[in-house]
Amino acid sequence: MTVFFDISQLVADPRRAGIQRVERELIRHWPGPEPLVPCRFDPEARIMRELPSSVFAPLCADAAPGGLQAERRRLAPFATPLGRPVPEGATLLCAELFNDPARAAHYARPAGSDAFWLVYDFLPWTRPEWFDSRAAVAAMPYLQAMRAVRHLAFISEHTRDECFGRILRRPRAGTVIPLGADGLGLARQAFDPGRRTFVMLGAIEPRKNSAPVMRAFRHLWAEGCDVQLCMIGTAELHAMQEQTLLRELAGEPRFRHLQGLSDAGVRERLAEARAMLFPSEGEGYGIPPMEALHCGVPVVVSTALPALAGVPPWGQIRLDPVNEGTIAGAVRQLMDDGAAARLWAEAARLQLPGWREFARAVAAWVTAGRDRAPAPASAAAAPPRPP
Amino acid sequence: MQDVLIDVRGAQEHEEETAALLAAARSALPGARLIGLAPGPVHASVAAHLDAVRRTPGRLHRPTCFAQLAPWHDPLFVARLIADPAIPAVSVPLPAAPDRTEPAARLDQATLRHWHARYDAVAEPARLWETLAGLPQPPVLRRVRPRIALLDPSPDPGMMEALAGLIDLHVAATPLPALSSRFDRVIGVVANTPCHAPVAAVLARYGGACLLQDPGLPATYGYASALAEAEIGRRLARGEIGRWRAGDVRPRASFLGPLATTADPMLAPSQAVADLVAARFGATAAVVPHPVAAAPLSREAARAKLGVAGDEVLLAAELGPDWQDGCAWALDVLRSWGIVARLALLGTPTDWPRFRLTCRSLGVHVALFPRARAPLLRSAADVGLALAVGPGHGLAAGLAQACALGLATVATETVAMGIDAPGWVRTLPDETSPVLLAESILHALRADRPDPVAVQAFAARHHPARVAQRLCAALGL
Repeated sequence: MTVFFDISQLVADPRRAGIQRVERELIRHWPGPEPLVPCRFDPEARIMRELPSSVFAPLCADAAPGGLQAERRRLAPFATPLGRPVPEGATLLCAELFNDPARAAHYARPAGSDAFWLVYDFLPWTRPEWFDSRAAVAAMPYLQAMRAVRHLAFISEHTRDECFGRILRRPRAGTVIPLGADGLGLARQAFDPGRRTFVMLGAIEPRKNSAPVMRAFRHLWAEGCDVQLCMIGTAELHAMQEQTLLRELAGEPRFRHLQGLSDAGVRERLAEARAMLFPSEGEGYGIPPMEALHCGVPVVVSTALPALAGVPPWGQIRLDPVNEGTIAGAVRQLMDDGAAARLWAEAARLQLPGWREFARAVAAWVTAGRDRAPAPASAAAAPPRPP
Repeated sequence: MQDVLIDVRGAQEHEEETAALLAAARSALPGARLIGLAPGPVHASVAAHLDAVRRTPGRLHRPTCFAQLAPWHDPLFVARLIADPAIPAVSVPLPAAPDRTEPAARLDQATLRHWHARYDAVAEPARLWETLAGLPQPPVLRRVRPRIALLDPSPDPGMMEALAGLIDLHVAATPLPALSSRFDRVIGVVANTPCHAPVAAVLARYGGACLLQDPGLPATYGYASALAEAEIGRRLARGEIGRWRAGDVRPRASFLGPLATTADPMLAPSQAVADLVAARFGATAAVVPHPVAAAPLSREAARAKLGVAGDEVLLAAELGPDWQDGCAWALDVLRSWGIVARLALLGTPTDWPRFRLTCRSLGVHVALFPRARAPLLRSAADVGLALAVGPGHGLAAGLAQACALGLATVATETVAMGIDAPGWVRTLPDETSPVLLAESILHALRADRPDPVAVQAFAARHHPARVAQRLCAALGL
């Protein structure tokens, strides 16, 4: 039986942030034997339509050198949803967080509610101060539809607790499927005292603590510390303070800010890194440090990172609290060759799950859920209405 | 109470002597407010005897008495005070400095002649305060009510009534009275709206008392970017202020700087705002809270008047434009948790037809109420809402009313800052989150009603009569 994979957002906005990465890895590692067929929502007809399977190739190729615009051009042939309608009652898998009210209403219908949703986090609603003021309201149709969707899986235990404890307020259900750590495709790295660069990967915004990192390095440089900072990612529109700091550091020779980097470019930067900085306190999971650890590169993280819950603390400096001072302290610690070598040796011992295991777990969850008789909807969940 | 302005410029070089003179003033003039006029930092021993120090003679309110301790340093300023027949003045006849230029010396002589024409004797230092005490009493002491102009585009009726019992009150919507000499004091009321901009501009230019209504003024100024950059100490990103005003993000600057540096006194609506003024601008602000005139009414009686059933969950809301949709969605979330609530909005939303459509599509009940019915609605409601991205306008005053009526209320951080919100106010980040709002409403519905003693204490602090007295005291009236 076919599993239809709703990639409406990915086709329209093929960025390479966390959610899009999960979708791409799921496509790459889908285990079969049931085929994974791409589909997207047709807002005119208000139905799901199949996309040609050939869309998977450009989506899963390495990032185009021209950035997002080039990616969009590459996907332009698939922009208009003209394929066959996805049959009612078909198995529909969605691993996106979206704002489209009509698409949400499609899932909220009784026929649509038998879909399978992979849920990432609820940060726009629980920590709105980290996002654009209107982000939480814009994505409310998603939450509204989620009340009706019967099959939910979560990328972390924390997200599942938040979902049933705060958002849906129902008895806990669903399964947790951790994400893969081997997506970077970088071979296991070895410590070399000549590595003096700290790499920070991800969008540049307040919740990631990008500003304290930049200030910490400015302080380290002022005290004569021979260290470099490479920030890979785009400054978000609402990240005012971070944009200002980026401008101020633009002429600093020990600082690099790289945007629109290809996967190969990320691999190159990490292959020369002494450690990865990922002190974000606002993550649903936290893929980049898991990938760094998978390659044997130590990381500086927040103790609150959901991805590391239950993972041995090897190769990690976990910060609590996260601020300019603790970040600078971690960098100083890592600049000590002995301490760095120890952390590198620890990181090499970690065994982290890969994307293949993740895709298998998703497929198994879908198969099991489809084979089970549909559970009755919770009494607390009133039938949602599309706005 | 006498408001004695003492020009200590020059006298500070004789620190011990000046301190002794001021100590004598303390015993000779009981109850007087001693204000030192100084060009820079004042010696600690001198400052210890002063109630306040002012550094801008051009922006002084008229004192009730004036004394000068050193030779003329600022003859024009002194001449202006001495020429005003309403101001009794006294001076110490020290010889003029030898290096005075010819015109300045002539001005000194003219001032001195005028001085002698008004007063038979010029005091000796030791008898300075006796002379002052013997001078004609200022109007307040003669039981003549101070004549005060209040510049306020939207005056609060309760507060006006209370003030009218204490002072000769003239309310004006335009700043013209600030330029008149007919008033003992001019108070500018400034809130976060463009229509308060003229009042803010006059206060920034001429000084005067500033009664602040909102915890920030991002909507008030047209020339905002330089102010904001000076306040937050960094360059603004392109379009940042526009995004503050559009409510996309909370303002990082309060825009209180111009008034904090020129207003005298600066009157903040809460200690939190006064602390912000001190932290960001190094200025002192006295706290004059929002007046609340509402008389409490039982929930049942208020519901009977409004025709609301006793078991209905009613939310009384004042919303900034950026929280309207978020609020409607919060009610949708609440319903998914089994709680059906009605939204009663005070005032008319900026885009009412669209908002009504949103509510309808979500199945949320919403009704509009005029602000005049706010006390009745808040008495009938289960939970109050005061939500905006940034300071909003007038929401802090509404929140104060809700608190004085003992209504459990949910407010956004910046709005709550405007009233030193009591414990029964649940605060949210300014940035909209329907889920956090629904959670807070749920907690407020489940919590015990606020402690009546604490509510009574809050209401007493915000009673218009008390606030009016506090305002007069802050103005030295």
